[in-house]
Amino acid sequence: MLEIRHYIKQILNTPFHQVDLSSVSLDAIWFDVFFSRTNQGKLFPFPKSFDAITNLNLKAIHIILANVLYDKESQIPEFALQSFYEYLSNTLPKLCELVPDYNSWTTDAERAEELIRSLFDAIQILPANETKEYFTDRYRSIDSRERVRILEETKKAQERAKEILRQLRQKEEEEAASKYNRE
Amino acid sequence: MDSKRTPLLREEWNLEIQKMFESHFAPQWNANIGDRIGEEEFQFVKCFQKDLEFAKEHSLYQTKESILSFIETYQSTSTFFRNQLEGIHWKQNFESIPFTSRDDLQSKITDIIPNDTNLNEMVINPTSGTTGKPILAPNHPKAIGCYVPLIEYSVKKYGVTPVHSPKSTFAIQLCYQENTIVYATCHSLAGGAKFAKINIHPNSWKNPSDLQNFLIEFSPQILTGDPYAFESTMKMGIKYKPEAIHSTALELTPALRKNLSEYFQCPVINFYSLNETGPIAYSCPKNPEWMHLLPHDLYVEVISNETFTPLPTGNIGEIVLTGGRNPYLPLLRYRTGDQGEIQYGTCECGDHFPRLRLLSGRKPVYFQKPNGETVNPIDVARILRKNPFIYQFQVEQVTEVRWECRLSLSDTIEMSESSLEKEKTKIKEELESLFGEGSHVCISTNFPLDGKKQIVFINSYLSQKESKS
Repeated sequence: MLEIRHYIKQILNTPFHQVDLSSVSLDAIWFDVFFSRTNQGKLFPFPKSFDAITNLNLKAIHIILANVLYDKESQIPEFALQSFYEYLSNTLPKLCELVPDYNSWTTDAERAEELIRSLFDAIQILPANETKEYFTDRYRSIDSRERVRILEETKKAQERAKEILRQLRQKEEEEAASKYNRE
Repeated sequence: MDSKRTPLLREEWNLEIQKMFESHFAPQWNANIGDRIGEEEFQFVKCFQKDLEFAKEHSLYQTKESILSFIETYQSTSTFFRNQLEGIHWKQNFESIPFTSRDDLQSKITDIIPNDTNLNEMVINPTSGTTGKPILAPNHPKAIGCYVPLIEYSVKKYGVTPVHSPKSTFAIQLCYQENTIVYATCHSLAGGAKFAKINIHPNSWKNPSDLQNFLIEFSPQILTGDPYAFESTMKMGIKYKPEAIHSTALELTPALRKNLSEYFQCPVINFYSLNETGPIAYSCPKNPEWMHLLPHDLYVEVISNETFTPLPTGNIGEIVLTGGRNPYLPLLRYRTGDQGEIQYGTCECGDHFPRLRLLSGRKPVYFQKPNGETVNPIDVARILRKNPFIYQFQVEQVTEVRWECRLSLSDTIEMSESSLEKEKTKIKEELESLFGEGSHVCISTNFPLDGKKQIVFINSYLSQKESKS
């Protein structure tokens, strides 16, 4: 594995000028990626086709990741295909929803880092010179899903705070419960 | 009575309580209040009582180690707990946990209340507010229900056996105020035994002799109230012999305790209880200067006033509490503002829980009208507390006819200069009417709002007179 900055750079340099997003076949690309990585297999590596995806932004994230994994110099080791398939099927659509414009991943270094860390997190590999703890901390701090979750929690907390204050005012007017002594 | 206020109310309880409502000697009832104890609350209190009795029997009071699980529970549900505990090794170092102040209870209550509690069951019991801005401590009927076994435990230690029958009146609470709520009810947790809160002030009765007759008719086992109310009862010459006097809210001086005990011919139990926590301690039957920690779920520390670190036995400092059973107000190193010392070890009375000796707690302060009559400061508090923009106040009687009323106002208050002046004039008029003819009240608005427990009522006029005599 290389240090995280190498992968970030790869993402920022994704050669989109060579890709016609609307006509590209994701299945063909993923086939090539895994064929080049393993030099074996004549079958499509995933249980389900990705060619049905029409959302260009989602397609673009597939391309970005395929570009990183295709490159043998990236020194990304073997990983479980099942986890990767789940990542492509579940996490990527969510990320695409939160960061809709694919250009953000290739122009904003923090988003690029988020994308590669989210992949590494899913397939459980660590970039060079990082501990698991450091990796998790850093990932959490830049994770869009985490940011949205915090925002939602904050919003919920604010609504709850409002409700508490309303109830406090109301209960002050209402009847108390009888007790034998006073304070 | 209705079953909304007292969900477990039974027909035979209702018949008995009606007798109290309709007594020829009854005061002019002006409120309806129930215990709000349903089946769930009932079971909660019964479990609490069992745990309390077991803990008392085996001297299992909370320690720095045993209270950790309480903290852990609320760390995940209270934002305030989470913030206070963030980044510190609190399990290894309890003293690293920051204190909770009275100010926190006022300003951060929305963070303190755990996020998984149902707000519908919240109740607020108003307090007299004799020692600083009252904290509107949210509470739950089940935690208020726990007052019953705690108070009963304390009276049993004085040889009083509470009678759990609707025919019995366990307690009557005495107040002496110009204005207050007056009600009768029964307590499900005491087998339907009756309870009444009455105002001994003449305003509250149809005939002057009714108070005496009412007490005799319903013969409560104990009288509860504050030293001021008991002293007033004594001065009024009311003749009644309860099984015990249960005194709270203000400091009970040894001299007054002796007088009350002689006058009412019964033991006098001094009780330390805060609205924020519920009952904390009761005076030891063998050595009444000391008060035994009452509940088994509160951890008590005494911290230095200078270094804010816990003090060993024999040193006076501020009482700090952690724990409790109020689901809306879990306490994490809460600084009570009360001063005292703590002592551990066995006690000849048989309650081996730690003992507290309170120091110059809440001395009763009375004001004197120019015509010599006394005024209960609680009536002053009532006038000032109804103004929502007054955050904290202090009222001092400076001379026979002159009072200083210092206010700290909300800084978010949107009020024009002229409306503010109008409000001040209104308060001035109300206070002068309370203090009587010839009184003069001076209002200022520069009283500091710093969250500290301030002395609210001062009578420098009477103190000077007393020190001269």
